[in-house]
Amino acid sequence: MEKAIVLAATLIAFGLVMGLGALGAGIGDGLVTSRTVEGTARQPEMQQRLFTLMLISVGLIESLPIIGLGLGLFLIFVNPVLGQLK
Amino acid sequence: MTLLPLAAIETSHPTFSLGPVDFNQDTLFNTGLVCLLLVVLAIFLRTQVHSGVPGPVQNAVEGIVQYIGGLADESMIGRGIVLAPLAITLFVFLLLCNWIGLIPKLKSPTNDWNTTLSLALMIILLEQFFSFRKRGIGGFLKHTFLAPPFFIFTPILELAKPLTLSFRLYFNIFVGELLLALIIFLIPTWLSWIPGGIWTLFSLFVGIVQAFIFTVLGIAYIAVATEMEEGHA
Repeated sequence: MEKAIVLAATLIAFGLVMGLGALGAGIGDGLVTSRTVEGTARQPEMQQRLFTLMLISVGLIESLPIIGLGLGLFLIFVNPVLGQLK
Repeated sequence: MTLLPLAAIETSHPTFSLGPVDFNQDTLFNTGLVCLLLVVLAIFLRTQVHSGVPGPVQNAVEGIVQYIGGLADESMIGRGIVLAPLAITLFVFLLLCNWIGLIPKLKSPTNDWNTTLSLALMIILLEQFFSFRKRGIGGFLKHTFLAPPFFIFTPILELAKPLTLSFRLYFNIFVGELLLALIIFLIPTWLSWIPGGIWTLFSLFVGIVQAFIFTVLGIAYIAVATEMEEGHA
C-alpha cells in the first residue's frame, strides 16, 4: 500500500516537474526569440551577433527543463523513498 | 529498485577500485580516447599546415580558434590575463566529449558528473585566484563579503556557480543519451531510425551549444571577478 502511494506520488511529481519546467522554458524561449526577431527586423546588420546571443540564452533556458527531466528520471529509476521503505 | 523494467538501459558506470577510491572505467577510457583524438588531430594539422588554401578541417579549427579566442580576448581587455588558450582547449575538449557518446558502444565522458564537476571547480578556483591576484586581499574580501546584510548571499552565489555549471552540462548529455537509448528500446527497430536520427542530429546541436555555453560562462565568471570598477559585486 505504502509502495503504491510512493509510486503514484513519484509519477505525479515527474509529470509536474516536466510540465511546469517545459511551460516556463517555453515562455522564456518565446520571449528570447521574439525579441531577437524584432531586433533583426530593426537592424538586419546585427543579425549575426543577435543570433549568437540568442543561441546562448536559449541554451541556458533549455537546460532548466532538461535538469528537471534528469532529476525526474533519477526519481523514477532509483527512487530514494522506495529504498527507505523496506 | 527500478520502477520501469528497463534493465536493458544501463545508467550507472562500471567501476574498479584502487584502495579507497572508485574509478569509473568508461569515463576514464573515453576521456583518454578524446585526449588521444585531440593530440592526433593537432599533430596531423601541424604537418598539413601550408600557406596555400586551407583544407576543410584546418578551416574549421581556425574558425573555432579565432571565434573562441576572440571572445576570450575581448572580455579580458585591460586585465592582463591571457585566457584564450584555456577557453579554446576547454571548448574543443568538451565538444569532442559531447559528441563521442553519439557513437554506439561509447559513452560521453561528460555523461558523468565527476567530469563536469571537476571542470567547473577548475573554473571557479581560477576565478577566485584571478580575483585575489587582481584586487589584492582587501579588495578580494570586500568583494566576497559585501556589506553586512548581504554577506550571507555571496558565498551561496559562489557555491551555486560550480553546481549549476556542472549540472547543466551533465544533465544535457545524460538525458540526451538516455533518450536515445529509450528510443531504440521502445520503438521497433524498423521504425526507430527516424526519431533516432532526428534526436542524434539534435544531440549534435546540443553538444555544440552546451560546450559553447560552458566556455562562455567560464570566461564571463572570470571577467566579472576581475572587474576593477567600483559598484560591482
